[in-house]
Amino acid sequence: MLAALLIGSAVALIILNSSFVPDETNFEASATLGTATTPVFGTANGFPIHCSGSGDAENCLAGQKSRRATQAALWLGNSQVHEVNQWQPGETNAAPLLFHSLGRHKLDLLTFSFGNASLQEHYVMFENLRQRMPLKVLILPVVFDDTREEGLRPDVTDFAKDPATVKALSETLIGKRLVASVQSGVQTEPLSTANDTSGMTGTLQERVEKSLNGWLEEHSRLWQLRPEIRGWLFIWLYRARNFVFGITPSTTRKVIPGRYRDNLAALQAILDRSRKENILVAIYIAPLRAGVKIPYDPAEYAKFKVDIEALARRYGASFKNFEKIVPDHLWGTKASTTLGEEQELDFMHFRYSGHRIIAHALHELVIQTLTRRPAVSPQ
Amino acid sequence: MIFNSVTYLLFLALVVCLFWVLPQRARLWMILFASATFYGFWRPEFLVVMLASAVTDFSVARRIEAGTDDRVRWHWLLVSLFINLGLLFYFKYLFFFLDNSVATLQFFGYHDIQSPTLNIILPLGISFYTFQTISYTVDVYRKFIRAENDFVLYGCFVTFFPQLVAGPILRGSELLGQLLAKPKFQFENFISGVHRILYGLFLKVVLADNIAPLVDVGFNQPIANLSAIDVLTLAFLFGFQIYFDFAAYSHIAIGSARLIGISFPENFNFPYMASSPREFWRRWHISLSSWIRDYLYLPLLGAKVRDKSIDGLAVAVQEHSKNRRKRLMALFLTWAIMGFWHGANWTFVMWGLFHAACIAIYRLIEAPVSIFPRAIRVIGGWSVTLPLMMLAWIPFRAQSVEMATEMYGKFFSVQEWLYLGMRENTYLVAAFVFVWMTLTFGVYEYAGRWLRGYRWLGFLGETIVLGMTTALVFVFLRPINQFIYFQF
Repeated sequence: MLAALLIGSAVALIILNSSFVPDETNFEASATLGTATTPVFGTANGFPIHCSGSGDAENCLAGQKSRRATQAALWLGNSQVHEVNQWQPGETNAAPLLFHSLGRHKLDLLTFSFGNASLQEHYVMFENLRQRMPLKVLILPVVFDDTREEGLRPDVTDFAKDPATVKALSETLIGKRLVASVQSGVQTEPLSTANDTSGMTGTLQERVEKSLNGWLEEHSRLWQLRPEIRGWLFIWLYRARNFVFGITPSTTRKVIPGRYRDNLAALQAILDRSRKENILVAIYIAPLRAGVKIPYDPAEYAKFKVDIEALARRYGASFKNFEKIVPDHLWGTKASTTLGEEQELDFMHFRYSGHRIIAHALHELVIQTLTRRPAVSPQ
Repeated sequence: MIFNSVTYLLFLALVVCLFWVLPQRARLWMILFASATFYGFWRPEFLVVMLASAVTDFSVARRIEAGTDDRVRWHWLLVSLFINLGLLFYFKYLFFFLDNSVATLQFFGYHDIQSPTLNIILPLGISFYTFQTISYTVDVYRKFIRAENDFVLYGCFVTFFPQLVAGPILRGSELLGQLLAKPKFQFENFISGVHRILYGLFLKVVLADNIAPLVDVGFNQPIANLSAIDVLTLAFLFGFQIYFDFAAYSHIAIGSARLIGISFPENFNFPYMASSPREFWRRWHISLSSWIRDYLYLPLLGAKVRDKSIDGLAVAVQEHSKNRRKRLMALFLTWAIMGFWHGANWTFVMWGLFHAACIAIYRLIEAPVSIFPRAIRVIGGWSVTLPLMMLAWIPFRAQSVEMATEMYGKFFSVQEWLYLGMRENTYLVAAFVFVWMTLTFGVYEYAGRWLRGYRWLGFLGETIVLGMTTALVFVFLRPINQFIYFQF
């Protein structure tokens, strides 16, 4: 028994020690995107114009203040907005292109995006950011995949702790529920290392545990690497799952009825608030890779498009279907998310030329939205 | 102090080293001091509450033993119960009692009365050490054990750190003698203690803590979004989480005690492999169910009590009092109290009554199904018992009785069986854990015996399992969550 314990533990720790090297890896991106896509977050005059959540929002807003913007657009999106497939040095994404083109019309632009952002998360961010910027136009891509998401990530949760945002959210049923979920402290993803001692908050043990951990991290490379190893284990499990069940990028993702309803309720809440606050809204169906089987149930996807268009029309928002706007050759592949394969099709992220197309189309859409007649009241 | 932390492992190493180098009397002082430190790492001020409970029972037990008049002895026992249950009532049930009283008055038209605002913090482990001290006094009253004259020894019994916060709940006869004895260092005990701690940490930090986010997200969704399959999946997932979490605590407690030569009775034994509610209660939280059996259920029936925290409530299922009505009343009352012990909320009472109903039904069908061959009874019984025991967890985890009722309601609509309301990973994790647990049971029960015939194969298997367990515990060890039973 002792021999088994000693040999087993020694071999395991040696394997761990020799298999992992320190690396700053974004595990969520690495698991879902692979390595052939590159995130690009643009800046202007030393300030970011493209942020990912509450962590860097202050800098984005400070930049806008320094530009003395009197009216602004806000573009909320998912990873399609910031990731560039097969990125080359010197290339950017649509956000800076649109920032400059709208700037010529004296309209400032801030962009916020993160992977798999849901409409519920957009709702929270919108309620927070609209109170902190001279918002004139909201640009909102709607992605079928993201209607399968529920709850708020930590970077959005912080927005929902602001009293003014809580007050605004509390005016709708879906908003009340989001506030309640934040107050109950439910996490939708594994805790970050900053929360490693959350089971003993405010106790003497928390202080002792933090010092011991600090000492161990200083003196043991392997101890320091533990968060990274945890990340890699989850990625490996994710890939093993895809391998065992034959899950590929084109595997059909079915609608999740309750989550779909909640996300559409969040969209409706955004549209309702925008109408009350005279904020113009430009909604578009996000580009999707054409020429291959789409990863959705065709009937469900068709219904989704009809539902979004109906909501947009009901609240007088501009609506465009950009589903096929990026030609097939401007998409690419990415590192495989299953075991044993090198590359797989990327359905969500296109190349720089695709970003140029979407920037141009959005420019047209925003200008059209600004110049058309005011929104009508919903029936 | 939380077990799943570097602090505890360091603390334990220090205690074990000191224990084996100190002489007997100093060992007891050291255990008492270590236990107070262990508890004080959470909130030192609540040591006073524990001390009050301990001193009361120490003094009362001596008076009970010294008493010759049965009425006087009985009065001293009532004093002990009044103080212990009074403390428990104040810290755990006062707000619930006032809140429900106000709700009742409002129901009868007294709308001006509002619920008071109370800021009472529940002392960690109060339900456990209260039960332990009550059992001590009652055992002295029943003359099962002699009252202890040495407060240091008695203090060690009440505060013994491995089982202080979440059990196992031990009897005086099980622990006092062991604390007093002078154990000799045995290498096998030491290794098996390390094994149990390692296994417990694996259950907690690798399994329970990683299942927890799925359960939290599931139970915080609007019920309208959940299908019947989702409710069943969440019941299974929470069932796994609470089992891994609580069994982990018991494993670490047993392992920690074993490092200093003290044996605790087992508290869990693959409860989800039970083929009947009776067997489930012989395998789940055995020390609590044995306590309830000996200090509540059997006295209510006027039956002979036992003095061992083994076998759990199985005896309560088997008990065949002639007065059927009285037996049924005792059953439901016992389980309602058992539920209420877990927390001041009607959801826990609902959980208890669910189990009482399962047992009452089992009593009715036990004789008719006995005609089937054993294999059919075991497999058939398991396939019915497992989902029932899992579904019982719904009120335990739900925020309110209404929520639990709404979740159960999903099973009665055909429409609710036709869709899935959660991400695919949730179902996969539930299925994977289920298969893993069943295989582990199979290996433990059957393959272990077979492997003993192939020494090297057994050694290789054990080395691989221990290596992987150590690596995973090393990577996941972090106190992100308390143990679920800390809240009780």
